[in-house]
Amino acid sequence: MDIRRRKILSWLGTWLLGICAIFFGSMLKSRMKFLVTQTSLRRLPLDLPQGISFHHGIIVNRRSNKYFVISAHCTHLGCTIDTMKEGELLCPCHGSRYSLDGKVVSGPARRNLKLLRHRIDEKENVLIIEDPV
Amino acid sequence: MKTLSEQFASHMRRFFELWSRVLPMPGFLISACMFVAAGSGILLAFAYDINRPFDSLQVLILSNPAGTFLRGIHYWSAQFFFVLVVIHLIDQLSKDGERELSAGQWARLSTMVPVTLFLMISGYLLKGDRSAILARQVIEGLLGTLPMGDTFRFLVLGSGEGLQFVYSHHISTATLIVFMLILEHSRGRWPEWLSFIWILGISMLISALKMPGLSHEGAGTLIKGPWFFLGLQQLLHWISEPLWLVVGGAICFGMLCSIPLIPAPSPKYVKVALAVCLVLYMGLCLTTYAFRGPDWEWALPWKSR
Amino acid sequence: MGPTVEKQVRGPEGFKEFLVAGIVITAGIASLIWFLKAPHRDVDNLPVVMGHREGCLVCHLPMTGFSKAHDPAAIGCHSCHLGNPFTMEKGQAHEGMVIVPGNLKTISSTCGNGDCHPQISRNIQNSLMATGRGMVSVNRYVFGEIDSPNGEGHLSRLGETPAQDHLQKLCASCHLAKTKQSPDPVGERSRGGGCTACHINYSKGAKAALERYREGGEIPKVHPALMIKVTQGHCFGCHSRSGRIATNYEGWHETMLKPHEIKGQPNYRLLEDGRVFERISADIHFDRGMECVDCHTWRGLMGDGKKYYHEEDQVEISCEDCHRLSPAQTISRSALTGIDLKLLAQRQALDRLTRFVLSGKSSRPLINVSLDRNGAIVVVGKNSGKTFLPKKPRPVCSSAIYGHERLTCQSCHTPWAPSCIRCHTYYDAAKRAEDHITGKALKGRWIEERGHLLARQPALGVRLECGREVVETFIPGMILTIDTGRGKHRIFRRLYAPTAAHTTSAKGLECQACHLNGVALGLGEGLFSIKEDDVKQVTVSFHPLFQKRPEDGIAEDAWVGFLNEKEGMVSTRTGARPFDAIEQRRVLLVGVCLTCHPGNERNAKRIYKNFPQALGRLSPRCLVPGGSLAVNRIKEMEQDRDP
Repeated sequence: MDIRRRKILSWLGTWLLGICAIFFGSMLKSRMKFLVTQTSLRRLPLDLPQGISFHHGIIVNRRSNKYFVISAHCTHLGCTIDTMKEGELLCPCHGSRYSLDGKVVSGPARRNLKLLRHRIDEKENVLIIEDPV
Repeated sequence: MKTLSEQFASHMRRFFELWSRVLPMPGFLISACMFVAAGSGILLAFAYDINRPFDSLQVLILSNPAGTFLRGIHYWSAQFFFVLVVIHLIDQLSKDGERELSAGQWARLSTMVPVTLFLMISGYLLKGDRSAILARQVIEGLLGTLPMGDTFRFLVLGSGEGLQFVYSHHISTATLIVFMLILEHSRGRWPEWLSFIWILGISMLISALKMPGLSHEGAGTLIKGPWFFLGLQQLLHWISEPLWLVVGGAICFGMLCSIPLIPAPSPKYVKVALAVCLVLYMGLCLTTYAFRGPDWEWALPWKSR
Repeated sequence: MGPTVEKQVRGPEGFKEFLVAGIVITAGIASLIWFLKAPHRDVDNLPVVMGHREGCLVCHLPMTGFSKAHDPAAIGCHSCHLGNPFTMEKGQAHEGMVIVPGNLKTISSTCGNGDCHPQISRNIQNSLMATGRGMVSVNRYVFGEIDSPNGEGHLSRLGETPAQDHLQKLCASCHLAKTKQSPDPVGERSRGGGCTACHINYSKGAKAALERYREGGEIPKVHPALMIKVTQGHCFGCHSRSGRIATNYEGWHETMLKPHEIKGQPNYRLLEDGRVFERISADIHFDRGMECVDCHTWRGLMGDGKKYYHEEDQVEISCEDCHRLSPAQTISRSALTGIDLKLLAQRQALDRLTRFVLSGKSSRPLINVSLDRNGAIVVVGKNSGKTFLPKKPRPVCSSAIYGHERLTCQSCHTPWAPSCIRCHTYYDAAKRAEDHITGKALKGRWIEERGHLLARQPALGVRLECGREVVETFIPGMILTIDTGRGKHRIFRRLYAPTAAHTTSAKGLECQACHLNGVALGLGEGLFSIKEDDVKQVTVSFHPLFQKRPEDGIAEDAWVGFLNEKEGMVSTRTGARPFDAIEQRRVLLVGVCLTCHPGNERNAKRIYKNFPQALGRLSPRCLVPGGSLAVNRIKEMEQDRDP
């Protein structure tokens, strides 16, 4: 019985250390803000090709002079979608398919791609995406 | 059930008997792999630049044949390390080797599996190429499903897209843990010199035949992860809620850790369950490797371009 | 707990371990030295392209001959040729490599990749030159497999019906989606290759380098240029077949002569595939030095992304865009977007243009058509930089003569078009034929027996354009019998196809050329006889030159019978038809008058400008059309039809 208790104690002890480390880490994170990088506005030139174009984390669907901007991050696990096949956006990681306006066509993803707020700056001829990506 | 597990155990025993006639025991080979991988890793670290990971690897590969070769040795010895850890575990479990260790020791040694996995994956991420970036996003996603996911994510991967945390963990944290575990387990014994020869020889031979590649920042409608992750990738394709898989993995790991704590005869059932999981998972890895083509469609490998 | 402590090692055992440690340390130091000191390849001059370096260039530099945009210093090799750029081992580097990157099968990851040409690569997959959609469905329609000539189809993905099998074994190589297997200069016999079919230009050096390499010489150091310059030679190979617009344009008509029969004879041309052509007359645009792309636009050729069934739907230009009286709609350079702008940046010849005329059909800019100071149209050669000043249409074209409202420019300005009649297509199951897509030998062969190849004026007929009836030129698209070898009956078809013959003449046809011409009326070749009776009434009859076909009792080369109508399957387009009985009568009625009052007569204008009025004021000397041409009769028929 004594041996068994010691066994359990040593087992527990090992794990307690691990859990402590995690709490310590979460404390550390708040103290180490300088390690967290900041996100900023993204600017894209207005002269984008018609239809779908991919811009590192952003997908723009241009129809004449209307811009439809969605996040390229798959809602399943966050992979960057950068391919289109037969009129569907295709996630290269786990094969989620979305329609060109970001609606889920087939899984594993369940949520639609995030719509990104954006505005057009005609003076500078740029499309400004306001959401951090 | 009982007979089945006994049959399995006896088959394994025969297998390892044959093994021991040709090769040094897996334990020794593991240590040897560790040294080979660490040694080649040290050399690679000279050439690796954390600020431009992808580029520094390209320069290494394209400019220095020795560097390419060395990277091959590092890669292959690491693969063997992982495979041997699993084999060693099967070997020990099939002859109830866990009884020779204390529960704490067993639990610590069990962490060898996830820590090794982490070493492998962090190595994969350090390539900094497209598949590495995607793999990182998947891991971020997976960690994000956990309670306190943000904290985990920060501790393991840091924030932003930099590889500073991953690199630090790869070359120091995880390596150190593995070293300590091996040191404790082997009680300071050096591996037989023959194990070194085997591991170095095979790693060099395979490196000469097949170099680990880099993937290109180009189109591809299916990016396959590292081979041991393919089963997971397939499961993630099927299952919308990644948390189930994280929980599943945690349960398997929990079962492994707690084997010595379970009163007889239950450990047998646990072992059989783990063995079944492993076989299924390996099967899944293999099918994904061979039969998944572009666009996540099933494809016959001999019919592809 | 745990096994017993190990014995302390001593003696020879200790020596062995010492030795091992020594070897390991020495090996470590040796490998470090080797790693640092081994001969390094110089990769400093390897450009970083799109975020990576490419090992390809270590072996393949220097490589010259590229157009600016495709210089490997800018895009590397992998962007087009794939393979593995991150290795210096040849086998691995070339694994998965694509020799002809333009092939449509791979363009999503080559030309159409990411930031390069994604839009046009998607468009082209849908375009008619890539799919041959219209060709497939018309063929199936003719074979009686589908009920309409408008349908889906793709020459690279043909099914197993006789019509598709027929295409696969006889025709399918002429489409862009055909995979080109080896890199060759584009010539008369090249087929397929996607983007490369039109955009690759071999310099002399590049040709020589390729030839040297094929003979076992060094790897080529001169690359063909991939550029916007699409010459007539690029189009010629494929378009010298079927409608033969490329040969028509240059004034050549295919004959049934054999190469040896024309040796030393002028006015004949032998094509590389052995077909002999005779000189007829070239298109005025060709004579003036215009190339295909000077009229045709990128949208019309590569598609605008929409699915069109037939080429006339996809093509966005018309004669009136340049030959016009009314002022043209234009757009300024600053208002251009996307591909138009990109193309202009590449075409230095067009730098001086500031305003661009919009196509009347699609309202999209024609980037080489502009206005001069006086508002007249100026066309600039895209490749040549030559200036062309299109003539304005003559008054006879613009101020409508009675009854000619529906006529297109082509109906008067097409002096000839190739016309085939009396064809028989049959299937021989015992023979073998090449699959035009893959090049493999397939069971069963289609054999085409040709009757006559004529260069003659096209027939006129009626076609629907945007819901409006227009008079258009037609050629005997298919007057043939088909024996599919499956099922017992032979299929007989008498179908005419609308054509843009590309044989435009500067001068329009004479009035008689249509009004008293069986060919123009769709009756086939033959003679009209005009008989006058005692009371000065004339009757017209027609005597065809060719024999009548037993299947429908009409002459072999005709579209419709004299003063008859034809319903059902008459053309390869829905809504297209030959002149009906009333239209024939009206045309011939004018024809009768033309016998005494030809179009160049002084009072011709007065007569024909308002023909019904003239009919009401016939002079006593005039013959009165009677019988089937009696004016009252025609009026009755018209009233019967449109109550």
